[in-house]
Amino acid sequence: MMDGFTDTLKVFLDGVGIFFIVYLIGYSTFLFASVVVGSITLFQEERKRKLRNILATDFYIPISIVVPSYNEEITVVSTVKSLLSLDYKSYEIIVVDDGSKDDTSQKLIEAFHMHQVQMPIRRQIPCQQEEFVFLSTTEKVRLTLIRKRNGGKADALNMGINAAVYPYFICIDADSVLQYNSLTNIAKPILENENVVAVGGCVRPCNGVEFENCRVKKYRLPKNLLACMQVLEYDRSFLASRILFDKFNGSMIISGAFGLFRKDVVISAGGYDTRTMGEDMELVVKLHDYCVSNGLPYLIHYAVDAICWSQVPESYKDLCKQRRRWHVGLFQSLYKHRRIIGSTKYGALGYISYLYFLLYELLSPYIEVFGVLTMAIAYMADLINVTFMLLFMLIYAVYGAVLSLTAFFARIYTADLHTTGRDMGKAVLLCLFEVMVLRFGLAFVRATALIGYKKKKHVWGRIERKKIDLR
Amino acid sequence: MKIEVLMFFYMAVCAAMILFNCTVLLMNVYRKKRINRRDRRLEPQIRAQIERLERGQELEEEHLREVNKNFKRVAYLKSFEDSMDDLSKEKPELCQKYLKALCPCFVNAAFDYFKRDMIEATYFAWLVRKYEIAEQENRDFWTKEMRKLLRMPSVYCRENALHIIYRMGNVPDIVNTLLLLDEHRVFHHSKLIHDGLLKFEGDKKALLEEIWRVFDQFSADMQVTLISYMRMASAECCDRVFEVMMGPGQDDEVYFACMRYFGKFHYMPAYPVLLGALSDRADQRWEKAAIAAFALRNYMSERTVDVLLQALRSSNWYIRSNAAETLESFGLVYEDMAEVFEGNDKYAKEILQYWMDCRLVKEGEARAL
Repeated sequence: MMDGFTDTLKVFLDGVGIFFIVYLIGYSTFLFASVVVGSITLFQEERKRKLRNILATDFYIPISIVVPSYNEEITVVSTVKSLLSLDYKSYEIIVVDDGSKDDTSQKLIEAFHMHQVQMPIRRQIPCQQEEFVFLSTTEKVRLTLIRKRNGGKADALNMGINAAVYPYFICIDADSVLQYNSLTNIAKPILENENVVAVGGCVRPCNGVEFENCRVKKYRLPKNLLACMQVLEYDRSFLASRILFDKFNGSMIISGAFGLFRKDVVISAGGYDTRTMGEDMELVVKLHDYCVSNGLPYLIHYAVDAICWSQVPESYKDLCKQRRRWHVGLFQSLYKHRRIIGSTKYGALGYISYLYFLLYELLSPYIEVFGVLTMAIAYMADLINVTFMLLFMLIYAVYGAVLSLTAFFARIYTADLHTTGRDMGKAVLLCLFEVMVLRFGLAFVRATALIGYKKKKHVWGRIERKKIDLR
Repeated sequence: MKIEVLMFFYMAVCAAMILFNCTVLLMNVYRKKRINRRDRRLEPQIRAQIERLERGQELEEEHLREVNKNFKRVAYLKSFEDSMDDLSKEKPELCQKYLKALCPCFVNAAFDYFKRDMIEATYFAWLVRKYEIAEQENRDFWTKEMRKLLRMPSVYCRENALHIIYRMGNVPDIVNTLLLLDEHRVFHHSKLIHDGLLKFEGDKKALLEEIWRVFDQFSADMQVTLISYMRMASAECCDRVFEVMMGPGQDDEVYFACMRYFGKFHYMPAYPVLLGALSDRADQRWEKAAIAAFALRNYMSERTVDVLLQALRSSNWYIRSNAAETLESFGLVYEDMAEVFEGNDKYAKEILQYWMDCRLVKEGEARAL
């Protein structure tokens, strides 16, 4: 009987082994292709910049910047000040206070000498009622503050879209900072192609970075090791997968921290979904669905040089809250638009992008945890070559770490950021730790994210914010 | 055994990526040094030639040959640009003279660059634009080459090409180029065309005349762009714009562009048309009424105020908003619009109140300053 059990276990473990080999080959191939394509694209963009492939004339597409805020009294004034310093002519700023319990609105009203107005807002996208509206016209651009009943980030964004005057809007987080040329760079794809309905910007962790007049004065890796590892992770993600998906109009996500959208298309598609936590991804997938279903020619682009600097969590607890939320949002978006999967109607979105997000983002934590468990079972049954397994994992980890470093250095070279030898050394050491330790920790967090889903599906959790030093 | 092969494969890829990173790092360092070295070598050479010009001498043949040969290398061209940027600050007029003498070198290099990849072709066009090479001589050549560049997929390339043609100042060439762009259905954002035409420094009247001469040959999209340009450029086109607007079966977007034109430039024959557009409830095109509501700010009269007050009751948001904004711009006070504020139409009251609030805010802020 024991022999029979052992034989069954062997067959099972062999099957698991084959599955993991195929799974890891798929992932590592994708990662390799995306880092190669991403690096080539970054170097091409750098070459274009150096060889003056720029629009030398002033060009301004009017843009409404929507800043949803909830309990952001620490950062909101500095965020708005940085938005007022942008090197762009035609834009407006709309801050939507989503029923904050702190002094978010009061801080803004005092800082910018705002006045109350009875502004009628046409609710083309349903959202919670506004409580009051304040306006300032003395600043460089029109600044509007809308305080409304709490309805969540998506609801706040919908309110901002309803109030926006211009044909394009940008959503930006209240703890984010744009560079002086971010608006110009994110608007460029629209001038290049009339079918562009959305453009994603590149989000980078601003922890440890010094700014002056919306320019990076000093770039350093964050002192906090957790934030430092997230820098590597963001570079890998933004450089790699987003650039690759952009090549075939397969982008399924535009970061909620910085994205440009065509207002009329978003309104027609129904705006942000207030029932999901991943409203940023859900909107993009919805735009794909809407345009394909209505036979509209469209493009969703990624602008590698449109930079937004955003705070990343510096404590493991906050990081877990964030990643849990992202995972729930991912599940909600993929589930809601599940008809895209494998559908040729959606082109490469259906059989490449969606499958990638399903297998390597949504299901990966469960697969990884399952992998760890089967290794433990195999070890207990003495059916595993421990040395070989460790070597395989080490090579795989080194592979992931090298790709992360490639993404990190590609960004450093092409963005002309100066980094110290110390930071380079820090990046080299931390990337291994990130791939071998942090990743598994976050995999466990993501694997448990859907437990208690029905009760907690709208719980965002509070993440600590620090004031951003902008001079 | 197969697993070992896989592991060796991944190890090899890792090694290759590490090598790639180290190579890029070293190349970056080396390239910066090489560029500095090249700049340090080239600038004195150019300076020496400029000094020759200053003394009334011609450029050396050897220098011309060297420039002719090296212009085909992008790296040399980049150093050339860096050196000229520095020298132009010291001796701008002599640098212009020097560049004029190099025109044949630019022409020779053009044959090469415009067959190359888009990035390099765009850079070369950028330099031709920056140094105003096309305006010096060989205008026919440059016009022909720039028109070829208009079909390039790069918006930067097309934009450089257009600006070179604008700067050459030949009005028929400019208009024919626009016709060509239109004919080939090449997407070039209307804002770029419109802003580019505004930068034209030659005979603007002649440009407008030429545009009108062939106006009917343009597509509706291009006609909209051109009328938008005229709205920024000249008040002299009222008669013709009105004729276009009233043309039978006119395209909607062209019609709207004409209405916007009359929103900027007062033209009495357009007044009844604008009033009619706002009061005609049977017309399904709400855009017409909305634009008319905005355009009427240039036609203040009792009749206009009456029609705008009626428009406040429209079921369309944009018509109401534009009508309210125009009424506010007339500087009317509460009493002039009492019928709305004391009426039953909540939406009309709301939108008008908002614009009046905005005026109060601006006045308050102005007083505070």
